[in-house]
Amino acid sequence: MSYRIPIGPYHPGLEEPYKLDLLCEGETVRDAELNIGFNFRGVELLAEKRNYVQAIALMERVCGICSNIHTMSFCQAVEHAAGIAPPERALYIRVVMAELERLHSHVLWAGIAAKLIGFKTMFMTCFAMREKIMDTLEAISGNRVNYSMNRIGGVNRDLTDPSGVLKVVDLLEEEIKHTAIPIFTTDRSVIARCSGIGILTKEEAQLWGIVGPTARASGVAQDIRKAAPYAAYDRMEFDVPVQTGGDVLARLVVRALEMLESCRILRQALTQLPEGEWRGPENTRVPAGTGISRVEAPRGEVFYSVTSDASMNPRRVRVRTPTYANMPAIRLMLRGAELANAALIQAAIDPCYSCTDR
Amino acid sequence: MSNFDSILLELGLSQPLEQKNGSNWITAESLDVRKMAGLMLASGARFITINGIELSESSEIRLDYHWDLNGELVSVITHTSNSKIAAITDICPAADWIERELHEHMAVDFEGAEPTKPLFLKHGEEPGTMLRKARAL
Repeated sequence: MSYRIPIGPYHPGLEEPYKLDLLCEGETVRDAELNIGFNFRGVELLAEKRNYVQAIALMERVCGICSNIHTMSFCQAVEHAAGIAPPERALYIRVVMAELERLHSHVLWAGIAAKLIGFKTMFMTCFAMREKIMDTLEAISGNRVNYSMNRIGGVNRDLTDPSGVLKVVDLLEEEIKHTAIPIFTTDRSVIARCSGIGILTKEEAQLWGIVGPTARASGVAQDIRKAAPYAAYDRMEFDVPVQTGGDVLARLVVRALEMLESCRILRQALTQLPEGEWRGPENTRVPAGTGISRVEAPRGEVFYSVTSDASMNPRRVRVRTPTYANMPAIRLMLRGAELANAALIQAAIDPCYSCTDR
Repeated sequence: MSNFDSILLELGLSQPLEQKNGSNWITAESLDVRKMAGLMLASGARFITINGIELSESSEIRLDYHWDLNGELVSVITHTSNSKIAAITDICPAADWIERELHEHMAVDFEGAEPTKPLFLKHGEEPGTMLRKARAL
């Protein structure tokens, strides 16, 4: 007998509001229907009502986790449209902020995954680790969530204590090496809980345009930082971890290994931080045209298109977030899954519904 | 030499890609978007998104189709005709949500698209109330 289980829009198994309708036969999920829009704020329309500087503050609020990525993507798109090249020091500071944000996002997700796996101690360990990263972000920017670091043509604040940040990176790297990596790659409970569930094949990932760690866990070796470098990523040496399993475990392992790569990038950016200007121009006129920006956010590629008609406000701002690209694939991952695994499977793409709805 | 050259030639687009503002641009006034989607996917390109921009000089919508091939970005600009264009979702499932969103926010009719539940529109709202100036509430 078939029956339908509605989960959400507000449910303890979901991090943010959205609705998942599971069509089940016995304990097996036969199909799933996703309903979004519960966080819809009309950000793209609101951006047309603000000038370029005001729009930066708006874009920072697209997402509460990768807020820096959204301002960076928006500023980059405007810089491309206006032909502005930010100073070298600003590009390195953007890399530092982006990688700290990736670390805090991945650690947050690892904690939530640990909670869903039933590993409460690891949940607490991850959140304690995340606290150190947020303290560091606060020390750099003065803020813990909306950092206000990016501006058109540069950054708003200098990075005054790179050696202090480096000490935190060393500490985090040790913790990741000695806790996150061994637990998420070798722990028997984690492997038993995550292996072989929520499978997305490489072919499916390519056809559905999947991005970020979710794609890399299905064997698609795409990372915008490597494929189309921005900021100072073309000067950084790092590897792109790829797994071929396509299951929840593969997504866990990819993110765990990416945390180490972020530490590697941070160490390079902090030790090679060039001297000089970081602010960029005071006033910007954006000529008519469309500027495009792509950035590798913690969840995958963020795409911004900013169209100007040479007036004070953007004519059109289009935001395509990684969860928007990845979420439809949850349906593929859930087909044939055990009902008890549904919460963990949907969480394994590290969904951000706030980003998705905008 | 672009990764996309042979695809664009097959689509009858012989003009060179214009590299500017963060992408490689090409404009096609009359474009077989379904053929484009098929060729792009067959070549291993990844669909990124479609952006709709309301044109001030007409009632049509400019549609920018963005594709990635090994890190290279191409943006193909075309326009709706009577606010209509062919759907590509049946060929390229990654376009499903964005076609639905463009229909709801910009009142673009994707011909051949299956009727579905709204993604963002609330009960009773008409398509286009969000991003079509003439239809704004």
